[in-house]
Amino acid sequence: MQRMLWGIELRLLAALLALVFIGLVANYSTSYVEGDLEHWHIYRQLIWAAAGVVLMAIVAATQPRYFQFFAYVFYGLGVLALLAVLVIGQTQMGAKRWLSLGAFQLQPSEFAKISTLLGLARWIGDYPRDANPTGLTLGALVMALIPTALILIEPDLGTALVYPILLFCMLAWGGAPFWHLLILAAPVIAVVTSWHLIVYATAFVVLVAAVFLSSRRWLPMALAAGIFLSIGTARPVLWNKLHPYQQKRLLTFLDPEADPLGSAYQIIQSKIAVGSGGLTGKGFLGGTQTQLKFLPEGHTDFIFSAWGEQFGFAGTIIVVGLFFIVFYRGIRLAARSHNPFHSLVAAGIVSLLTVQVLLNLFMTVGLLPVTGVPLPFISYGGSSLICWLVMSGLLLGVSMRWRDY
Amino acid sequence: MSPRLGSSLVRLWAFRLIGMILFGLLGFRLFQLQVLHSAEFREKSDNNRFRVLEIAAPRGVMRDRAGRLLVTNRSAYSCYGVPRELWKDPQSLRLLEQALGYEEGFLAQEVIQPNRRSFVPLRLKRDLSFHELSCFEELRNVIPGAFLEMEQKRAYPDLLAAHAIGYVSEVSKDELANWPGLRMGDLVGKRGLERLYDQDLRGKPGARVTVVNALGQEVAPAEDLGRVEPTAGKELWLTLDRDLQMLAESLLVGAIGAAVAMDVRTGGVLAMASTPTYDPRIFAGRVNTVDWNALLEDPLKPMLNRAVQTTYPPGSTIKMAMLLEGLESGAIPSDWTVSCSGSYTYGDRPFKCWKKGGHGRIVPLTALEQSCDVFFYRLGLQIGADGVHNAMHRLHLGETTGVDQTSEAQGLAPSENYYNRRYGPRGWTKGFVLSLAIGQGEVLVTPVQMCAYAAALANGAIWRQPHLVRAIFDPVTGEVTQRPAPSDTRIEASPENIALVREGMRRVVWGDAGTARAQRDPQVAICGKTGTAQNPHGDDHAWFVGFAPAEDPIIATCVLIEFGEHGSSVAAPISKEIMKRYVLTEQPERAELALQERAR
Repeated sequence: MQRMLWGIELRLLAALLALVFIGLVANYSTSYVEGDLEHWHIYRQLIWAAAGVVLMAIVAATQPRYFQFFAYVFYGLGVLALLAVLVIGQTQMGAKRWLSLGAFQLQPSEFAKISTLLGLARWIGDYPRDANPTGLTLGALVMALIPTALILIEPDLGTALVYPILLFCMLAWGGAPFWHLLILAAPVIAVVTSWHLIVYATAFVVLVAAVFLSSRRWLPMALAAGIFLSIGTARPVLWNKLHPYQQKRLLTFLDPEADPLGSAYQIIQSKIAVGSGGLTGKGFLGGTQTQLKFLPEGHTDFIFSAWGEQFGFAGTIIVVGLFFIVFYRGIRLAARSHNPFHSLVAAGIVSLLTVQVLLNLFMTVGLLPVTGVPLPFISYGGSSLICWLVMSGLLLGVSMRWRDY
Repeated sequence: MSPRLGSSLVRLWAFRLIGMILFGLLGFRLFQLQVLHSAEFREKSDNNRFRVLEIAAPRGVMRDRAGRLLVTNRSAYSCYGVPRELWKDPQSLRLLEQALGYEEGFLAQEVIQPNRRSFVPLRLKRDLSFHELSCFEELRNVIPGAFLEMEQKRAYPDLLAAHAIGYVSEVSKDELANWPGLRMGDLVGKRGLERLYDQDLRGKPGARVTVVNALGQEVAPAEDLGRVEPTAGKELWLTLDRDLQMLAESLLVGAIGAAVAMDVRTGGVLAMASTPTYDPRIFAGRVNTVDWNALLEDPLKPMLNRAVQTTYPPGSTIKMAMLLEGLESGAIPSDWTVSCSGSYTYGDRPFKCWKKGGHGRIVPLTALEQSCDVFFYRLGLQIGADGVHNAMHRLHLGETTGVDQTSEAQGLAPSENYYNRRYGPRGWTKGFVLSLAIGQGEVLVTPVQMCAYAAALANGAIWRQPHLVRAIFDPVTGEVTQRPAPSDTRIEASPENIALVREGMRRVVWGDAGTARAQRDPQVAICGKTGTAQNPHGDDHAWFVGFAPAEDPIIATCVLIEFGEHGSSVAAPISKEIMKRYVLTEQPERAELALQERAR
């Protein structure tokens, strides 16, 4: 009992609860238009937050070994839920992302993050240290690609993007050889560089050399070269298969001012909102961008812009600082956890959180394209908030038992 | 601890380093946006480049009974301004005031200042003249926040029926306070049909979003950002006949007076003219003070709809009502005979007949035909003041008809009660009634009442409520709403007595001594009654009420000419022309038959 009360990482807990509170404040402000609470979404978010905090406490109090024991079961349920979405899901705005459960709408791709994370932690943590690491990486790759593929079919590009990054981080944390990581990164590097021949060629040489130097073998080098070249040539073909709105989003990101009416509208308005907030902001409920509805998706993907407009640099730095505290304390926790499953769960959660936070915030400030990744804890959405509080519970549970083997 | 993990202090620091770099980059980007470039973004958000503009709903048009347009819309330019942007720049605001022809400081103080924080564009002036447009175009690049919008303006293809139709003008402060759903600068109906059916005609405005550049000029309509189409106003389908209205107005040119024509079978008003008239186009936007004062100060009161809003003594045209009352009440028999010597003395005072030599022996039929005053003096004594009231009430005279027009005047049908109240029970004598019986003195009627009266006598059984709108058509849904059932009432009189009165009206034109013999027309059998109402302010008013054809009538008219002196020579010809035109176009075959019969 002592441990459960005092073993909690207080700074971590405080930072997580502060983020939830900030999320509620931000949602209140986006509900509020010209003197009236026009939208009901703040009430729903309040209920989700309360339920989520209770769930967090329950998960934190539960021994992580139970999660370890049932990790593959969770993983299987996650995949089943994603399949269910494709079969009986609700179609909204051209995408099947939601499962209808009575009055609630569930977004299984959010819950599948937890189950995939648990599955990967079990797989990587259980993998014998003397065995060939190729099995470790391949197994993890398959485990991560199944949900990624299912989410891509929905389609939900932003969320699907998160899974390979999670895989990469957990493998890196779990001790996969460096050249494995390089080969996993090769397709991404190939896609990014394939637009420009000289850049592409340079990247090719550097990557292949790095793989050879770290593995000291010819086969990995050939594999890296093969992947890089095939992805590089397949990219233009795949590009044409993207939804036009996805293409447009990716393209206009490069030059948002060129098309102020289309996709770039969001980026421009978001930057105006954040920038016009200045040092101290326009005051709570005083955002002209937010409250006058110039800011699109002000309560979901672009909620940070609404926050930044109202509270300025002071406010945004506080939010970024809180996320950084969670990242810093979390990764420290992962490093000192004695149990590999604990360590991998902590590292996975911290990676996932940081990746999503950075994807969202970089998009908000115009440094990444609009991918539709919500900001953890802050963006409106029941599934997302509940999931992040459950993962917080896991993190806190691990933090209370970092000495356990 | 798994050795695979344990060995990696390097990995911990790699993770930490990457995290720190990325979070640091984010922090720097936020510093860059919110601190270094904050002013620039503040500027952008202060005059955000997206503007919501109202799309005015096209006001409903009005069509005559054949579907021909009487009132429609045409395009005009209006000047709009964003108060927040104009307020920041007093210099260009002054230039704008000059360009639009406003007094210095008018826009700044009256229009912009109260809304200086608003991003919502305000209409600064409607319907710019060519001169104002070119002045504005020159200034366009130096005035941020002002722009032109194409808007709809009322148009009148033939400038007909200005009084009945009424006009639209910018909403007044009182109307803004009392009518929901109106905004400053909106056009509302002020008089006539435009006023009464304003809610139907108005429609619902839409909205669109536009993107503007730093000078406030529209760059491109942002249809993606939302557009709400306006809902067009409903059309009024009128009972007016364009040709008949045009004829009536042309016949009245130069005179002061009114003409009303009704379809006897329905009560629909076919023509409603009043002279002098005015040009409704001057009201189409913000009213020009000079024009407005000129209209208000004109001694002839051109804004007045004389057909509905002015009362006159009816003169001899009331005699049918009086005769009907005498017969119905049993005060006189149908062969009541009176001897006219040109004057009748009651008390000490002589009451003169219009014919100095007298009419000799007069019976009811000849009393109408020759309009013998002495007969009606005697009749008045028989029925009394209450009889006069009943006579008028039976045919809705001295009462509002409920025609769909604004400010309808009531007139007066005096009774004993009225006199007792006004003069005291001993303050008046029966002598007053003698004048009433020939339509002089206190009795007051409007031309539209007289027309409905003629129509009621024409159809012989039912008084039909005059009206101008027969249906309301919704161009959006295609739905046609018929006019609600009019309050038509049965005339309380026996058919024989009505027939007698009608025969009297026929003889006015066709009798050997009829007062309107000059109006005989071989094609159309017109019936009616002339009237000359004494006017204390000048020459007598001339009246004619009538219907046609004599058998199975279809049209009734009433013409009043102020200071016209003689009903028979001034009002009757106008009435005849209107009725003839209608009967000949409605029933050409009947006119043909009438001619053939006469030829035989």
